[in-house]
Amino acid sequence: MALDLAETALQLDTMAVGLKNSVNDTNMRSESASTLLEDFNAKDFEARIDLSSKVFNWSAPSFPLRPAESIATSDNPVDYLAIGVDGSHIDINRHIPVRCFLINTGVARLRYGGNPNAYLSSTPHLFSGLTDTAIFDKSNINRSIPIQGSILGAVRTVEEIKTLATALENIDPVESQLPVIGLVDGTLVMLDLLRAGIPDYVIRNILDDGFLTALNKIRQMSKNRKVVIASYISLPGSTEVMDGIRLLGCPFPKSDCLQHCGTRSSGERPCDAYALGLLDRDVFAKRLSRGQRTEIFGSSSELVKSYYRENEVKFFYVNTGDEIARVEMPKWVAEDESSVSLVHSLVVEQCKLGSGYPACLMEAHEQAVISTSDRSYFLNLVEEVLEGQDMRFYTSRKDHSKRIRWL
Amino acid sequence: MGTVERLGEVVESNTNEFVTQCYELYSSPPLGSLVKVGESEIIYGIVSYSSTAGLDATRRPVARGQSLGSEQEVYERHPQLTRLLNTEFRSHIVGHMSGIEINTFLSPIPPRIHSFVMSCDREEIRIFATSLDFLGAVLRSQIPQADDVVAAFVRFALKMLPDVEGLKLDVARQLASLLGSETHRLEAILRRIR
Repeated sequence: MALDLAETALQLDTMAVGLKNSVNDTNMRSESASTLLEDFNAKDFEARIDLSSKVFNWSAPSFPLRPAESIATSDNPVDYLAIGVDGSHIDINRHIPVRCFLINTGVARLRYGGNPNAYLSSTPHLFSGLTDTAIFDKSNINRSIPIQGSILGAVRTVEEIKTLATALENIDPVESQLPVIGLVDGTLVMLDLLRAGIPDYVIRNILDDGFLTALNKIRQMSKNRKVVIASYISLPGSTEVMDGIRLLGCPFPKSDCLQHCGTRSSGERPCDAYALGLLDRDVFAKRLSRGQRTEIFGSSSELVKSYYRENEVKFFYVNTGDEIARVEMPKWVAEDESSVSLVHSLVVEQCKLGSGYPACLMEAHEQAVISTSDRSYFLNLVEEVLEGQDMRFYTSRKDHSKRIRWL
Repeated sequence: MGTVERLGEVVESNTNEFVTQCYELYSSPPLGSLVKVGESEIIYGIVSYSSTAGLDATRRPVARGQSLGSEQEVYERHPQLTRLLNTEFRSHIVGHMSGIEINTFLSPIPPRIHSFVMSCDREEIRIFATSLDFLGAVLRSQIPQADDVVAAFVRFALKMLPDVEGLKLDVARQLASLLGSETHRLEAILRRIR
């Protein structure tokens, strides 16, 4: 037996007891955080941010004027189009003799109302060869970084947003009169690029030449018709608002974390009384009723601030009836009240139709997903085509050993 | 079924039967209908079974209409269902075209996958309804509902060929000859075509 399940179960028991004991403390902290939100004063908050910039260790997002506000959903349009896009990929396999990866994007275009219909599709895109599987520095072509791991994750996100732009572009003239929501799964902030050591030319290549170009294309479309886009994060684990609450709860006039709390351990800092162990969704779960959303916050990500410009990421939390979800959108959507209202009402409606998760995203995922058997079949296909060209297919001894599992 | 209509495509095929995936959800021809398949090698079959299920066997449909007023509303509220559900029907092979003649016995080769499946015209139905040679093969087949398929075919033929005199009597004679001493079975089939 590789994993000692009996020993693991004992450790899980201990974990569960610890979690149970902390429930009361967590609830109290959540109540305190909620009170801070209710007493929020925008001027004081901004002054505090200015005063504490560079010495406050957490990254507070931009807060709305009334962060404690709960906003009810308006009626969603009966006739509308929901387009969901999702992606899946097969990463580079260093155990085989060819360098390639595959991205499969799925689209679900669902029309609701008078003439309901659906279009579901998936498109595989194989990347191979040196130029397709690496990102090159335009100013020095001798510098490049292979696309794999987290960078491949970012490239996949680019493919997803490009696919969404194409799907929105291809809407026929009759349907383009309808309100349209384009949804992608996950965050609009390219978290994969936040990993230390990723060169600036890679970030620029992925963002400027890919992600943001596609977003700008959609923004242009939105000028002529009612198109809104957003990303949906189910059970979000973010603590951005909690970081802001730490700033609000800091008893020192200047929140200099190192000076005041540099020697205090986690749990002993004054701001821990409001935020320790809490996620944004924990606080909003107690404030939002079914269908309600928060006001709009602005992402605190340095990446967003440095690169996103007119596509700066804004977000709200919403109670879909089944969970507190995070909905992100570009600034040009967030700044238009009717667009936000449309995003809000359609996200809630889509969640209702999808049993708690947007129906269009669920179907896009089903189109995009690459099953274990498909992955294995892909490998066999690679082997077949190579041998068809009289090229020898081989695997590493490690991979061979894992497959054979001899005694 | 006055004009010939394309119903779907063959997705499974063997010497005895073929399975057709319908182009439209719930558009299977009724049990007992005569259909044909293929462009150059035309093969005839009688619809013996139809089913509707999710295209992906791992995704089971769930109840969705508790708060809705009608079944139609379920499909309007979830337009993707028409793409994710799929209707198929199984046809028992009863004949094939050889040159310009229709033979009412098994084809030497089964239909090809993706062959188009069409409804039949009156003349084709008349040939099978007046020959009735294939009835024995259907009655002896492993189809669990073979008797119902035979009765359904007769009802289908009577409806399509109201001008053919004595058809019901011919069928009764043919069935009596085929079923011999199985009088209960014969009576049961005849009751279904009255």
